Amino acid sequence: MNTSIQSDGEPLSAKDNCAVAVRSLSKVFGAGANAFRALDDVSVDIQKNEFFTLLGPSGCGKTTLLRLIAGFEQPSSGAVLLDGVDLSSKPPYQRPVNTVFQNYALFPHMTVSENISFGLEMLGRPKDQIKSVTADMLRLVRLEAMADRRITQISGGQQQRVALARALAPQPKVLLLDEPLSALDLQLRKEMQLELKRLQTDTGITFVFVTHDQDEALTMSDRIAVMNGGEILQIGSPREIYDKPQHRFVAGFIGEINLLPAQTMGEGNYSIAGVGNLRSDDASNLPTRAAVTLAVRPERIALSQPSAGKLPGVISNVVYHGTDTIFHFKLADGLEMRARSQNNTAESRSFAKGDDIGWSVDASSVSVLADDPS
Amino acid sequence: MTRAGKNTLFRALLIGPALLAITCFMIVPLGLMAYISFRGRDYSGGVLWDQFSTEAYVRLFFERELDGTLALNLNYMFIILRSVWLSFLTMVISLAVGLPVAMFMATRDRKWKAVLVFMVTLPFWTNLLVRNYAWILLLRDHGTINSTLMWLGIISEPLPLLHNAFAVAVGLTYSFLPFMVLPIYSSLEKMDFRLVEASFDLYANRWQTIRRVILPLAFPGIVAGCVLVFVPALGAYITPELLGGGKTLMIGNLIGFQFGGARNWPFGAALGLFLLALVLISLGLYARRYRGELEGSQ
Repeated sequence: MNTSIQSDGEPLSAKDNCAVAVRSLSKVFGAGANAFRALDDVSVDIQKNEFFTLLGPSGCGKTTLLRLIAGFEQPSSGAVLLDGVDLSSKPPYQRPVNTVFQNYALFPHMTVSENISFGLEMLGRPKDQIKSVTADMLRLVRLEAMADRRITQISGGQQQRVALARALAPQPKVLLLDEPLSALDLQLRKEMQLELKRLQTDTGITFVFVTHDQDEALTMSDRIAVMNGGEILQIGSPREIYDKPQHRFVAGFIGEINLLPAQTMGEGNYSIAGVGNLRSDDASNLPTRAAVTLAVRPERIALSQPSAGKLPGVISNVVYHGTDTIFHFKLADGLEMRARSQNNTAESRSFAKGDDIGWSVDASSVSVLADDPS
Repeated sequence: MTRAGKNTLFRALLIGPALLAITCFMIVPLGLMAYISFRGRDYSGGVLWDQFSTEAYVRLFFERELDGTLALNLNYMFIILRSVWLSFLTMVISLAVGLPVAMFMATRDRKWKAVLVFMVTLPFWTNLLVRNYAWILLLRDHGTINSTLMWLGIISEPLPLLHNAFAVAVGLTYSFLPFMVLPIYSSLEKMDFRLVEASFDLYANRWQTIRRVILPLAFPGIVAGCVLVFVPALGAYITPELLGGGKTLMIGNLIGFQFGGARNWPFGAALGLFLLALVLISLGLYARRYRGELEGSQ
């Protein structure tokens, strides 16, 4: 059932600046032929005061990981440590973490301020402290005027803020957020993204944020863990995740990207069959002639007139987006690529469908992805 | 005819059947009962239709001596009090048993829920009379329970389980338990169980979660269940008749007796109206007491 690593003789430990340490955590739902491995041997250290995002498509295990940290699910194996303390034996109500639920899960039979003070009451805090903290929280989320409204009498955006205030009021060590913005419309979502980031900076609480929205992840996070199939594929800052994806999935899931099948030629050279050579700064230990995939962001491709030293292509489509233009072009082997060019000036360089072009990419902008066996 | 006039006629035609049904089946019988309750009674037991009399109501509290003076007689009030007490007890036991059952049912899978609801309603498939006779077989001196306990050597003499208030309370609880379980189940079933997780997340333990989150949300169901158990239990006839063995009379039996063996229709009607008043007053008090909670949990 619950085999923590401790039972294997290996001591559980975590670094001092680590808020949540996830150790070889697995979760299997169901049994036998219907068993589903939602989380597969995941380990991660989430640092104190960090805005940490779990990003991935639905069913990737991100919500399961969150629920395991909160204690709503029991792990099949592995452990969760909070400030170095193993949480395995603790029910949710003994864990100093709070959750902002996807649908908010606000208590419909209570007012806004009763919802916010619920956690403090359950912790048995003195009455005057409950009162003052609740007032502080109402101010923090700018809902002073709504204190005595019922939950059904306020808007979705306001409910969202009540859910946040309710979870922040007990001053948890870690705040877990399960796609809290997904029910809001775009405008409100953008506002709440900034609001959430502000709250995290103001309170200094560690945020673990679950989302499938790459835009949300990139704009708000200090670090992102990209998940798929119950595994964490890559952890890094938004910039690292975007600029240096290490997996084909990560590259494809975040932003637009061109993927080019290539072969290693040694010394940072890669050959694209029938097209030419590209250089990459990515250090690769792969043997020569190994199959790899090169990943290049569309905005990193420079287009010009065909010339020596540039790779050839033919423009197949031009899509104007206002701030920028996307040029689709075909390579000799039939592969279609996209280049994004900012419309910096009114007479920004333009190409028309059918034009022969030359293209190049700086070696620092080419990521080398090992071809996943999967 | 004006347009408004046509509309009024149309509405009258639409609502007519319902009004007719209510008039025929509720207002007329009640009115008749009220009328009879204020009539005199001749010595052979017939109703004196042309004589106004409050004798039936006087009889609720007093006994007329041979010389015509009134003496306080609270025997009928005792029976009414016992009825209220037994119904209240039935309601409390049903709530204590029904709430966990409803909670269990509401937290099962969809497939299991259907099976469990079916099982709760299963007793309705057989006649109430038959089911009460079954309890006689269980509770009597040489019935299943006593003979099992004696066989196990726990008791040497049969326990007096039948023909007392205990037997009536057991029978009433058994008969009306589904009326408690189903409304509570339906209010819990609508409940979002993520609220329970939210409560756990906010440091409420199991007991606090039940008291602060689940019970308030189940409240409309609990109120409905209590009314649905208390009211019919108060007027119960078959169960006290069979399981009370004529010794533990309830108001329903008393009323039945007045219309039957005692041949005193005015008194029976007065008892019936008294029971009605009792129910209306207790429902009114109940609604007043819990109005806030009921509106709050909508």
